[in-house]
Amino acid sequence: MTEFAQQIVNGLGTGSEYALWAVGYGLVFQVLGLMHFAHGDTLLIGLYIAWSLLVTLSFPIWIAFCLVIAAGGLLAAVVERSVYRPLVKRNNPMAAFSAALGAAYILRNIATLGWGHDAKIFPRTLEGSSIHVGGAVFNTIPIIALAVTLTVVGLFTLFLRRHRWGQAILMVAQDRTTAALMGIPVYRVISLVYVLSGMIGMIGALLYVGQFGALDPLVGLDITLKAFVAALIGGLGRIGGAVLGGLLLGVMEALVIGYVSSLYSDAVVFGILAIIIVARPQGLFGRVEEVKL
Amino acid sequence: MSPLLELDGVNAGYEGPDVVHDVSLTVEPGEVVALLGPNGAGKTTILNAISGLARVRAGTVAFDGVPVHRLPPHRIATAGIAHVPQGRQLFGYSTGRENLAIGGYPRSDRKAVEADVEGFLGRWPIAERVAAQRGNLMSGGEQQVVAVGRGLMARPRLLLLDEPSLGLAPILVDRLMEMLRSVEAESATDGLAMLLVEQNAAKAIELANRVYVMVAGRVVHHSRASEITPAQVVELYLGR
Repeated sequence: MTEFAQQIVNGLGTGSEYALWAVGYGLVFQVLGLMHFAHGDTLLIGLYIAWSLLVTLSFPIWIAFCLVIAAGGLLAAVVERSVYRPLVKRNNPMAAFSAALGAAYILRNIATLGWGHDAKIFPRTLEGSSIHVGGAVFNTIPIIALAVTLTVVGLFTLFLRRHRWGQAILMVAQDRTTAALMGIPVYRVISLVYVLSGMIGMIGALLYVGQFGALDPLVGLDITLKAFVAALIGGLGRIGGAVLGGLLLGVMEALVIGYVSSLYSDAVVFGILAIIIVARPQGLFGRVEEVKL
Repeated sequence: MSPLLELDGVNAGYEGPDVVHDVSLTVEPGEVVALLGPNGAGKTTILNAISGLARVRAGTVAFDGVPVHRLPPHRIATAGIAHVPQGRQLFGYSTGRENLAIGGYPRSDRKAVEADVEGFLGRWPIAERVAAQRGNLMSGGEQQVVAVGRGLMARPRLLLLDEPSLGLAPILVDRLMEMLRSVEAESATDGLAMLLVEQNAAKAIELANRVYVMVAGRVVHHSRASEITPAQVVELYLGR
């Protein structure tokens, strides 16, 4: 029972990072109806920049993190302007889908050219301690990750509900043409959506590599897949769904790793995803009418 | 003094060939102008050309003497033109109150927008009833009242209304017209003008100061509202 509780907490920690990736991924889908398959590789470049700032240039950790979170937003905006926008303007979602995959490969190749194929040791920026509850010992890192995620998602939800630009995002997600008639600068809002998606995802990515300490060019693909799966499990385009989907994914993985084998974690997780898609195409926490706002 | 809105020799359309040809019309401050015509005459395209949703390929659209036909829709809205589109197009997952509030997006005085929203809800019980209801769960009449209110929240100088009575029961059409008359009366001092596209010629003539009739993408008649009857409008539709 103690071990089970530990696995759940560990899973919630990793799941928190998945949740942040899924929120950014789902946000782009909610607003544009597009699968943002370049999401993870955009964050990958940010992670390598973080590595350079921390390891090569010895930046203080908080300055490096702030710069990289901003860079995550900027990189996402560049991808939006250069890849997505020309195709969205031509109303060609299939081309945008293919272009997203192409952009992901280009970004991954840029990372490889700039920083090489080999895995880098990322400084362990998250140092945890142990806390004892009853007979169980818990590491604080997953708890910190969960707290950061809930804070970020809470602030983001507040922004969407209360801020003028947040409201604009919700309206553009529902109807771009009518939003423009209301005086909302639609393309500026779309750029903002990518910036926020990049920044929120970057926080998750920094938590992830800061916890596991390894960075290689395939991390971006992993982020995209996990974001996609978590968002699908939760119900694409729903923030709460993305968070719950991410947490659930993390817990499932932790339980498989803890009780079966780490070799099979992806197979089990994707198997569960396939079952969910068949049984509830709108996701576990999505409603049919609200899959696309 | 230049008119509030002036279209001069406008050819406009979407991706394919032009839908409207050589259309010229004016709207003066405080005036209600009706644009009548059968289905497919190009009335909606004229409104879309004014608000930037249709492409103006020839001619000019000037608002308060300033050309606006090359501006994107959000800049035109910010300049003072509010468009209540055909089919209402409320934001279906937002409440009546949220729909009204977003209409005030071009304004920077958020407190005043909130006060205007509450004022509108207090004034129109049909809107107040659906203040907390999602747009896609409202009836057609409720949607239309909220859509007109949303247009007014920007405090525009020109309100474009596209078929506001379409699909509404006769009693709701009467209520809507009453609402538009009251808006017209209240805003006369502010100089709010309305350009009303309507298939219900009788109701539109009753409300308007001047009338334009379009057939097959061209203006075929222009007069004061008092100088034309609904029957004559139908004659024009039929080319007699």
